[in-house]
Amino acid sequence: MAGIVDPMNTPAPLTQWLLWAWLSGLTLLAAVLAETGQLSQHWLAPLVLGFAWLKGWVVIERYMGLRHAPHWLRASVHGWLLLVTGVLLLSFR
Amino acid sequence: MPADSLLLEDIPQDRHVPGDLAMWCFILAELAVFGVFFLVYGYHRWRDPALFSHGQQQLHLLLPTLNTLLLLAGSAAIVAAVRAFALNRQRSGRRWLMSTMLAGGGFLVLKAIELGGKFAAGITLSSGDFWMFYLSLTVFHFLHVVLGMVIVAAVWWQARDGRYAGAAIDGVETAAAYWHMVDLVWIVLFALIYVAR
Repeated sequence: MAGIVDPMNTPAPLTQWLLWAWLSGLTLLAAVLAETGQLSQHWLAPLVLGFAWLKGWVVIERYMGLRHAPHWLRASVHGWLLLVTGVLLLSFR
Repeated sequence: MPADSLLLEDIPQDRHVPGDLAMWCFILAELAVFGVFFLVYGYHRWRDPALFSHGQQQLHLLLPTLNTLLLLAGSAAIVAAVRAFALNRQRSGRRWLMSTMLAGGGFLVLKAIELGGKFAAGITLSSGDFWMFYLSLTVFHFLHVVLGMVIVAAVWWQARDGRYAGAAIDGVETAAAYWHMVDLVWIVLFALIYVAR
């Protein structure tokens, strides 16, 4: 029935906490690496854009719930993320 | 390892669009607009990396990092709200929606402080290519957070009246989808403008 959400399609409480901790951890790690200047831009930009792709992947799959969505919708949003992070990576030289 | 593992749980065959299809068309259009914005930024950065790097060095990371954590917390809260309403736990669902709004409100306050500091320092759209992109992108995103809060507030108000009690929860899913889009765009923006320097 349309609009009735199966609770099993949503992350369980423990998974919610783990996902939040994972996303927050990657955010803090990226900020620390940029602030301390331990990495040159040659390494920093690909790394943090990789983090952004990874975080975006988790948001799309688990938060947006597109893993349960029609393939066209899932592919559209993943395609956007891959295109944006990929092309932006090329802009750092 | 719990059955509901982080990434590898079985996906049921009956696929459905989470929330309203019209909202997803709007979300895809919004992503396209931000995508073009990001790609134009990338082109200009590729042409003049020294100018952009100099501008980025003047940005402090504390406020935008806190803002990223706030948006992620808001997203986590609205995921919890969707699950609560799916389980017909109305009070819990409303509290999680309120948590999302608080996180969004915190984001707006910190972003206003950050932007206020830039304006006080005399930075405007005319201060150079980097600052033009910085102000345009962050203010444009700011407005999307405001819209996201309005949508979540409307759903919270409907939930107070029992709109989602034992019924379809399309409205909650739709609001969650929009909020996650705002979060997704910020994740890329945070990396691009603030961190990748």
